[in-house]
Parts: sequence; C-alpha cells; structure tokens
Amino acid sequence: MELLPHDLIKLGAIKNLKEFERLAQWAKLSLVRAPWVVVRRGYQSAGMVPVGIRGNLRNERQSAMVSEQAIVGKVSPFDLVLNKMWLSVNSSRKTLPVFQALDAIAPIMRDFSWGIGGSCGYELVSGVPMAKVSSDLDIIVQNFPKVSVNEAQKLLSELNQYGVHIDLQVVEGQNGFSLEEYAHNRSQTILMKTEKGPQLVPDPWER
Amino acid sequence: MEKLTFSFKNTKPVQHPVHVGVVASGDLEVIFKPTTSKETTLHIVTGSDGFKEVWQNVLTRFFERYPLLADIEINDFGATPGVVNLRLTQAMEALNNEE
Repeated sequence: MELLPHDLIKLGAIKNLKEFERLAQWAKLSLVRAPWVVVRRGYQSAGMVPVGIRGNLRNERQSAMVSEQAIVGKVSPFDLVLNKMWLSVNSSRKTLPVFQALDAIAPIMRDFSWGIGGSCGYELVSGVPMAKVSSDLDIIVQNFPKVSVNEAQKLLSELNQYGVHIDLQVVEGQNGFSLEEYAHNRSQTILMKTEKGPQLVPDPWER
Repeated sequence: MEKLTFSFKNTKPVQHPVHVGVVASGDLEVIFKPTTSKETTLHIVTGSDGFKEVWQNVLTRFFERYPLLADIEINDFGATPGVVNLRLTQAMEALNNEE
C-alpha cells in the first residue's frame, strides 16, 4: 500500500498498538473516539509508518509509528474531493466557513488534481467535529504544472475570496511546498518539505 | 497560544527589513527589522505552548553562527525546529541578497 503524507489511515484494534500506553491521555481518547491518524512525512521502513494523532486543541498533536498490519483503511485527500464529501456534512456543520468555501472553490480547482487535508479533511473522514470557525482550509494539489509568480498570485487571490485562508500545498510524492510562499516571491529559495526533512530549494518544480 | 520574548547580544546590524515564511500549519513567518538597540530582541507568538527551551536552543545555535542585530518578530504555527532554523537561514540569505 502506498502511503503519502496527508493520507488518513484507519487503525484496527488500537489498544494493541505498541505505543498506545505511552501516548498522552488526550491522544488515547482521540483514538478511542475515532481510530484515524494522518500519515506524516518521513521514512517508511520495515513496514512502519510515521503518523500524527490529532486532538481537539491546536497544540494537541502527537507523532507515533504504526505498523502497516495495524492499518485497516485509507482515505487520501484526493478521495475526499472525488467523492465531494463536503456535500454530506450535516446542516449544523455546513455553515462553517471551511465547508462553505469548499463549495465555492471546487469550480476554481476543477482542472487540478486536488485534495483536502488538515482539520477539515480529518472531520470529513472521521465524522468528528474538528474544523473551527477560525480554521484554515488545507488544500493539497498534485501534478501541479509550473506556473509564474503572477499566475500563482492570481489563483490564490481567487481562492482566498471566501473568508477562509487557503493553505495550498503543492505535493509530489513526499515533497511539498506552499504555493503562497512561491507567490510572495520574497526570497530566492522556497522551503521544500521532504522525506529527509525540510530543505531550501531555488526552484520547487525542479527535482 | 503563548508569547515568548528572547534577547541576544548580537553584533551585526541588519540594513533592510525582510519577511520570509508563510502562515501555514507546520510553518512560520519571520520578520527582521533594523534596530537602533544594542540587542537583538525576538517577539514570538506560537500556537504550540511549552517549547520555550526548544526555541532558546534553536535561536542560540543560529545566532552563535550569525550574530544578526535586529528586531525580530516570529509568528509560529507549529513549525519543527528544523523548519525554524531554515526560515532563519532564509531570512539571512534574503538580507545578503539585498546588500
């Protein structure tokens, strides 16, 4: 099974996880409530996958390693868009800015292979109310063609007109960078997150 | 949300303001401004509480190599120490490019 950063994976028998006992109390509660974790960037070796556990609070994030055998399901950010998962959110949640914005940006993103990450993606997959009024909308885009700084600015200003800050990450395999950083054009390098850790690169489209 | 302040007795004044990084989870914004003070002061706003010692270590290591004298603002959205170090490096590169 190919697992990439931002993929959400479902764990079976969470209490059998090797590391379960050493997790923070909030992290144990989060897994008991919904056994979903997010794949983190980093080496996957000997069938072990680095993951992140998400709690209700912004600073409730814990990393862990899980064995591939413990995985019983996977949903990628792209699956959420292909299935238009935000349309089935219940009416009280639908009024949140992130869900409103998804409806509005879908036509703008039509020609891209895009997905949903962050708290919004987690909520769509797990059903746990995690998105907040103040949440950013994390958008993951793969096969993003090289664009000029002007084109990147234009796309981001179109996406950002719905009252939610769009955090658009361009990914290729494990690599990912912020389109906003590219659009700002403030420095001669871009921070690329990779399997081996972050790096500064002159051209994020050149590997 | 936590506000942290650090100061360092640095020696190399920056000549221009620079602004690098982004508002995005796992990332941070870093703003350097020229100062008339004899100390570098950092004002950090971070969404991840309880990492004062980690900040102290990352900043100390950076300024030992590059004793930049400036007023510095950082808005952190849960960046790792590796990302913090690269953003500081990137700010320094941006300063050098403008000279």
